[in-house]
Amino acid sequence: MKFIVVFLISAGVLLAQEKYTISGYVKDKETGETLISAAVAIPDAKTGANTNAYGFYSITLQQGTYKVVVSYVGYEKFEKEIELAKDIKLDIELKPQSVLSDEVVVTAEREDANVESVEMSSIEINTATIKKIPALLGEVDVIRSIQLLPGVSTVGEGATGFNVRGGGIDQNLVLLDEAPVFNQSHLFGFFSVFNPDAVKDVKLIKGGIPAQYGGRLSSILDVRLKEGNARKFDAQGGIGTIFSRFAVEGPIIEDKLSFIIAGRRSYADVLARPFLEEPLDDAVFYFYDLTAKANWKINDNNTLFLSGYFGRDAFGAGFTFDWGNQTGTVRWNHLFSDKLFSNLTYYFSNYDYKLQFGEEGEDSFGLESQIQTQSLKYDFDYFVNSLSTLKMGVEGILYDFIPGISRAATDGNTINITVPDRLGAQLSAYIDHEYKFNDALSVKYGGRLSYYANLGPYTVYTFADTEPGKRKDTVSSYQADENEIIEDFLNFEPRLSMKYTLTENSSLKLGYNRMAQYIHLMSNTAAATPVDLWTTSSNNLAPQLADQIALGYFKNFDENIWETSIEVYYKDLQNQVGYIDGANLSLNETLEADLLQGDGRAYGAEFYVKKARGKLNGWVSYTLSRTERLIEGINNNEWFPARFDQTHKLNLTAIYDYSKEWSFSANFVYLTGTPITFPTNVIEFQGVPVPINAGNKRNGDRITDYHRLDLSVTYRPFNEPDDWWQGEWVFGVYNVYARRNAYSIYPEFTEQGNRQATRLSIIGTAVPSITYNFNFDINKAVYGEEE
Amino acid sequence: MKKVIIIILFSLLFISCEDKVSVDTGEGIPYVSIDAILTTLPESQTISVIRAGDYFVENSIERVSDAKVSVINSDGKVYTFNHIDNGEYVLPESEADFSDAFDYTLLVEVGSDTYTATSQLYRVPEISSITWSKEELDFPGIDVDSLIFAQFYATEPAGAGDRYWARGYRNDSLINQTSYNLAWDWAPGQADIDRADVFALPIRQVITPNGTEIGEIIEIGDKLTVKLLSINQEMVNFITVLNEQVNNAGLFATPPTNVPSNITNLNSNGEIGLGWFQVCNTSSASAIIDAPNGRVEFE
Repeated sequence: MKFIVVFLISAGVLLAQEKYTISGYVKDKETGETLISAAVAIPDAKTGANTNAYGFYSITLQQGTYKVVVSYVGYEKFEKEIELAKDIKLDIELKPQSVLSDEVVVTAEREDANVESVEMSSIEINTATIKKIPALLGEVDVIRSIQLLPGVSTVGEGATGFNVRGGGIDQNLVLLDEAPVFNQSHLFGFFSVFNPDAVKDVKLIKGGIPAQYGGRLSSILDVRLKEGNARKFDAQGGIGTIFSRFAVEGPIIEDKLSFIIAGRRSYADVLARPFLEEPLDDAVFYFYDLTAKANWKINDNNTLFLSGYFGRDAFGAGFTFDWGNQTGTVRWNHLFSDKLFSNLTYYFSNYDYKLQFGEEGEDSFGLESQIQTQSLKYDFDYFVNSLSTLKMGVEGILYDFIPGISRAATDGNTINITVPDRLGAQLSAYIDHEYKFNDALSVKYGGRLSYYANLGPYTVYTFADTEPGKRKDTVSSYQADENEIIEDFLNFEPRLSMKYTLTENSSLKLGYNRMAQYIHLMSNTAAATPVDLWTTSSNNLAPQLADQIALGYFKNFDENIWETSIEVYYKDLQNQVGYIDGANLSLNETLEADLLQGDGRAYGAEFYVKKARGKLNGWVSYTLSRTERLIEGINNNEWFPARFDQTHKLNLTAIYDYSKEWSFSANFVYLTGTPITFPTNVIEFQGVPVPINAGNKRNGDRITDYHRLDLSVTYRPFNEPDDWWQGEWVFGVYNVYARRNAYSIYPEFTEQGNRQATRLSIIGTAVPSITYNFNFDINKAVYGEEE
Repeated sequence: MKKVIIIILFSLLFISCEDKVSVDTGEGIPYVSIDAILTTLPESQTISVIRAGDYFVENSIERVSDAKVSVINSDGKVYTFNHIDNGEYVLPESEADFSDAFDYTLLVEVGSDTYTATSQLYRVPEISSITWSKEELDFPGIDVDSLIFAQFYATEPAGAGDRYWARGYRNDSLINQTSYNLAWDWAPGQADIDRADVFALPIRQVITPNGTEIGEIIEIGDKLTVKLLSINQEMVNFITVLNEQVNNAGLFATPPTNVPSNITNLNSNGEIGLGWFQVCNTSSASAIIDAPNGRVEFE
């Protein structure tokens, strides 16, 4: 704390000198969309800044004449000479590089951002890149794309969620315009809820997590939506094999008020309907989502944003289940001065699922479960001077966990079983100071203080652990009053990132973070499912904690055409959740009696080589890692590999922009098979074979290794750049050599009473696809080419 | 069920597939497993003794034919079970007179190992009636348009803590072999209930086959039998885990865990004993299905 005070004072001293501030927003010239993490450089002063999540930058310098250079990937560089003799407001508009151009690409982002930035273990991908990667069924997807990055993996095709550096899927904080999304999957996990037409920017942070983020242990996936074209009405969409997309955006008041609405729906059910026979003729299987955002630039100092997401999946025949998220965010950007940027956010985010068997009223069973949250937070960016930036803020979150409301009806008798709600309240405050000691050394340090209270009313149980790994006995219980604090927790989460420049194009970085997580996803199956539920930390369930240290070496070659990095990390996890044998996670009021907690550790090395520019571009990433858990009562109290432990992970993504009309891309994935527990022996009881796991080993076996090649070709029929209609055809083949990758291998009984191992390949063949993407200018479409 | 949905979905896309693959889990550990569920009914009683096989190896279970198998009651009476075939040791109906007047001890000698377990008996109510009716069906996934649903009725007495295992038979063959129908007092709710009541659904429906194919379903002329075995909480725990393990295949399977056992090897250096021994106070009743709807009362 003393450290911070010293810097604040020194910042104040510096302020007393003759200094002026240049500040403003960086935007796309064509759409007026603000650009996140655009680099604003002042080469003469050897300083610069990146725009924040709202496209705002602020740089304070001695009086003088400077050249301002602004760059951003996919845009032409902007240069301007300024006379800094007073505070200057400078909104900068960058011109997008023509994608169709096959001329030598003009320099894009600040080329050495990866080396120079103090951040590490973080990767920003823009939708332009995501759209070039070959995709399953031709549908580009945010979450499937980040799985191609080092340190990010999944337990299998179509599995819900993703794992970062040995973290569970519930240990990722996935934000959609600041609102957390509790389940990011459509169609189990084949696609994610983020509509690429509406997404502006995706940032994944795996380590050195800044203090502004908290609440999950392993990663932050910060997805920001487009604000909507502020200059003209535009429509875009795509017609694909499994679903279609359509988005409209435009200004209501030019440069003041704009919006975007984007929707998607699958239509496999519509196409298949005529071919379905009993028993599948009443099958439902579809998903849809709607993403919308509007922003209103009230004046230079105030902007209001409104964004929302609503989506739903439904599957089944006779037995159906459906799930979906709803989020809404209201944000108010306010500039107190050209150095002090603030953002006030209110959000709500709900996730629910429903199971239904049989018709209501007859013999039937129905179950509903939900998590509801809302939050208010206030964040400040204080651009103290060219060396020093402060970020601070406070946040309050309310949680309502609704574990289950069920109705069962037999013979006209209806039984309702309801497990009472659990409530939680979380308060956090953070401060983060980035300070540039000199040209070589930059440090970002800070901390987050988080407080969580598990609140009544509900029946609070106390359990005694008689034998590890067995259901705990209930010792006592009492009825807690409304808003009674049943148990509360306070954690200080220090954060640190350091960058030390070695040479002009290489640097060393260090990151440390402690994270606390107060909510837990209950999932005991091989892969998480949409019907897993969240629960709160309580008197019986301690918050999860993680400490991670990461060290990285970053070096660029050949005028930053090649970016390379090596990072190693070690993560120590506490209070990881495990389950007793035969744990009952659904509709169980004494759920916590079935839970175990123990330690985890994850360590690994990540290698990354990216060719950032040129006709041929792309990246190779390789991750060597180990993820283990130690939970009393499992695996004879010894360390065992976590379900998502994958020793080797190799990705190769290559994009070849051959001409204006044609581009090609390829993607190769190799993963070590995930751990699994096979029975060793078989006995019989009353004529039925019963598996036995000798030695009680957990995850001692592995499914077969996974590898896959995908290819795609994009063809853009020639159009003049200002034609009202632009379209492209994407032809793709997923899993080109039709490998039957195992999703799971599970033991099964044959009709003769023997056992066999059955490999389930979710995608057991090459999957071809054709997608047509388009965008068109609505004004030109309505009023003709001539205006 | 979750697996079914995934399969439905991807069969539609014709891209998922299942293959038999070979898995090497190494050598299993030798276990002797004893299956000794005996009843107080006047019928022959069977105990089977096997050696566990390697899970993924066909026909790997070894039937032990040279064991010495006996049960002794608390009065010292010895019941000797003789090996008939396939590791099955049988006590003929003429000698089977287990009753709740005694406790019982199992003794199984296999080579130098002696496996033992003890059992008490618990109260069991009489079956009062079996009823059935033919119901129209309009249900996805079911081929037939009507089914005979049969139920047994019995009144579970007041007093909490009774446990039962209900088993159904069609023409003297066990049905619903891998769905284990347990009752906590008269309900399936896993909780003690003090007051008396008739057994709840789905316990009563244990004599209706789960299957809906011709050959599985109840036909006119069939004989349906219910056996209500009175057991204890330990055996309920055993069957609960057994049920999970036996029905644990598929995509969303949980990691395999071992069923508990009440069999002990007196030779602590010998092969580990698995399985369960229980002598169950049992009530039973049968009805012949002679019409689409009907009811048989028992005294």
